[in-house]
Amino acid sequence: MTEPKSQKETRSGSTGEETGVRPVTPIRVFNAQTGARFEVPFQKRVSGLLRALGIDDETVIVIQNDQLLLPGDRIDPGNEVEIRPVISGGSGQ
Amino acid sequence: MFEPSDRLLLAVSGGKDSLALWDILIRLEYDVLGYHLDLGIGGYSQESTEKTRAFSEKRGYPLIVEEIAAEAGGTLPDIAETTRRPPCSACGVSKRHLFNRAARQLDRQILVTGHNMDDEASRLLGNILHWQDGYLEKQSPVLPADGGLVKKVKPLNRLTEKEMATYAYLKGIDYVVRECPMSADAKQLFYKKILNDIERESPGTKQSFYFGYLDRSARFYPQKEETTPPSEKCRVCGEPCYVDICGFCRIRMKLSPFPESIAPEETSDLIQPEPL
Repeated sequence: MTEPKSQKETRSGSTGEETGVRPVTPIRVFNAQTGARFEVPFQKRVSGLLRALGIDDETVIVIQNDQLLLPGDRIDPGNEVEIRPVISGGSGQ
Repeated sequence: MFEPSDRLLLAVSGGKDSLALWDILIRLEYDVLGYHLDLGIGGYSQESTEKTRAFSEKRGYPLIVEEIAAEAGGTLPDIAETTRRPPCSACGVSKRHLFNRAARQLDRQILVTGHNMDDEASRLLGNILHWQDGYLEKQSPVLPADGGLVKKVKPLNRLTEKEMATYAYLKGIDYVVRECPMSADAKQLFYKKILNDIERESPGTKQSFYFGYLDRSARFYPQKEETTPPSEKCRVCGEPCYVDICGFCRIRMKLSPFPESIAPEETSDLIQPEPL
């Protein structure tokens, strides 16, 4: 699992020390279908995170801290967000 | 679709839809027996079988497991390679044959599958794009028993993939999340993406497309007064089919050739599971 990078990045992309702006934590994401872990720039809400990742809300469920999140819910930047695709294909059973 | 007194056989893959449907049917006190087919697709099938068994044992739901390798003479990857069929096609032929056989051997009147609305809408799109009249005629959530073919039902056909995933998560169902490695190029995934793209631009279109078809299908494909059950029994296995030798036996013959002139052989008999 990739640990979050140090909290140097700000919304403007410069360091907090230089600008005095509060540092922004990236969001840690886990894709439960591929097993991939990665980070994306801070997003306040689930809808923003999915938009940033180019994911259609109807194709996934989003889980954090054992809670199912809806598009309007806030993301806790301190914990990993699980994105679980719901689409399955093939011949079916 | 079915009555409380009906004996159901539920095809269980280990995915969200079939496990959630199993949970729902048992909660509603239906007489349901789970049937899982191990496809032999490496770690993916191993995980699917393990999760299905764990779900069954934890809740005390009766389950039958068969392995495609024992029935066909090879795993699904072996079948796809030997027959040069697309994997999903070979999988579909094998499942249709083995599910129906299991239902008959286990004295189950109805075969239940966990196909959801997205599955059905994408299948409908594919069938219309290629004008597959034979499949369009049978694109119904309820297919009555026909000859030696048992009745088939799809109770989740009004629920979306997301609704089923949400239900499974909220009920604490531990299902296989990863996609079948052999369906990566499946056309159905492509059709689902197209329908979701349309849905995003025009909400409600997917439902209107699928349910609109169901409303009109009787007009497009009028129900015949006389049913046309399979006129033949497979010369090799004795299961119902429309030709001399069924699709599943043709697969078996490619994996391990045997003379076409052989008499119908004894097929393995499934035994009712002991109550858990």
